[in-house]
Amino acid sequence: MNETPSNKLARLAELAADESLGQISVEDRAELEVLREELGETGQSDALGELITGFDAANDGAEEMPADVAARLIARGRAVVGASSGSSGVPLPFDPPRSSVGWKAALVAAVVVAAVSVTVAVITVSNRTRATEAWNAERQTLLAKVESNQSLLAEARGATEQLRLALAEAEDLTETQRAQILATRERELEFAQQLADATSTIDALNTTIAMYEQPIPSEVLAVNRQKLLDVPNTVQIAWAPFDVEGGPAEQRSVTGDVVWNDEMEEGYLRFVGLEPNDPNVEQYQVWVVDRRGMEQKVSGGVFDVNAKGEIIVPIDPSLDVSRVSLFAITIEEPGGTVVPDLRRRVVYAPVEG
Amino acid sequence: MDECVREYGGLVWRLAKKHLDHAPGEVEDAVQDVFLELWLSAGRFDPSKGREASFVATIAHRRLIDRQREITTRRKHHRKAAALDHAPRLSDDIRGVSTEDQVRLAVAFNGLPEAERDALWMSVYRGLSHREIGLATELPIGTVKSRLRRAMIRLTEILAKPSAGMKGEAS
Repeated sequence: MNETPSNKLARLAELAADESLGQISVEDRAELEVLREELGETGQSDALGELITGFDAANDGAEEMPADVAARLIARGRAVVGASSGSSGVPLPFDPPRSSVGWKAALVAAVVVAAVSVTVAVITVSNRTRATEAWNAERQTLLAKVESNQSLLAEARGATEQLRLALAEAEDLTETQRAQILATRERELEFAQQLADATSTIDALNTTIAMYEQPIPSEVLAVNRQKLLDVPNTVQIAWAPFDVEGGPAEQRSVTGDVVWNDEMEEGYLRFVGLEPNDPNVEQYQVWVVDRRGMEQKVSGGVFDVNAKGEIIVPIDPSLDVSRVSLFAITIEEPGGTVVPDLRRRVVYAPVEG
Repeated sequence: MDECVREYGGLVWRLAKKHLDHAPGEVEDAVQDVFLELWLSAGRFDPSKGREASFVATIAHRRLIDRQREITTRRKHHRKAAALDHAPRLSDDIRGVSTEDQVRLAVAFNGLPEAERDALWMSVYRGLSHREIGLATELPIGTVKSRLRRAMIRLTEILAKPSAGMKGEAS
């Protein structure tokens, strides 16, 4: 092909147009990257976005996002992105009043719950870890698919090339030969498209996995906790020493609270004064008991404290609990335990029943 | 975050409903995807390169196309054959506060041949694939693709020209 700079610029414009329309094959994308590198131009512009907003204004600008969809969207955004995008201070699209907790009533109820909580059983693997494992498995499957698509693509290209070579000597192409070329070319494109789809799904998965594997910075947790407090039906319960008859709690000067929202199944544990632990020897374990009864209780995972002071621990948002009645913290062997004997109790917080 | 939803929720919602008119159950999920990406990529927005609304629309379009492909390839859920749909004319005075770019783009778009305008409308606003536009217009895929390319190149060139003063800034 005769590649003068103006030809290359024209080709760059073509490929950039395909790209912005979201219709570019893997091969073309590679070619586009090479041209961008070589020409130092991107060929990108704001035309697509302007066009879409123009169409939107010209079309039916009336239908707004339903309020319940917006509320769920904001809740999910907070859970995943947290405060990193900044808070605007604009009122939420739902009612902001806060619920209050009858402290005395809650404490009375707690004594009853605490008395039977000796039978608490747990699931130690956190749901978050399980989700990440599932995504990793999906990523492996997709990688295998990409590999198989790559070989199918190579095969299809080989077939096209063979036909081309064979036909280079023939003077005129018959209709059948033309059809054959077209058919192999079509298959080639189809494989290339599948390859592009699988690759982009992998990219998205990688982003999601990275997001979940990163520890959440404490300042983000603090802001998210504060925001959750503004959501209706969020409760805030102070920790109390987890004493049972005949045995005081192991640490008696821990303060702080649980902030929890049943509907969103989201919550934060705040502690002041928990003793630092050596993760090789012992870990703190979270217990969540729900109101369906003592059979419905799960481990909220384990956590470590590396310095005395205030810490905030997020409660696994994908815990399968409905209507929590009690949160409790114990000290267990590293990794947590399945059946706790509640020998080393720290604090608990009963939710008003 | 809330402000972002208030400002662009309608735009993204409408786009998602158009793009996923064959899979209404996916709309809310897709909208969440779009906003998640917006929040995570907000740092990439460069006000010198375009308007915020346009940035949002571009990200939404790309995400929705991905979502459509996923529905089609993984769930074998194809859209019913779409009918030919004519593009509206663009207003060069959108809600009284058009930027110079918007005006130039609207004038250029309205000046394109009808077939190119329709192809762009079906592709970028309704989210039809080349194949679907081909079926709706009874044209070969190659023709659809070259029309879209030609029109997009034209609009890109129009916006790439140096601007000469703003008519009014949309905020």
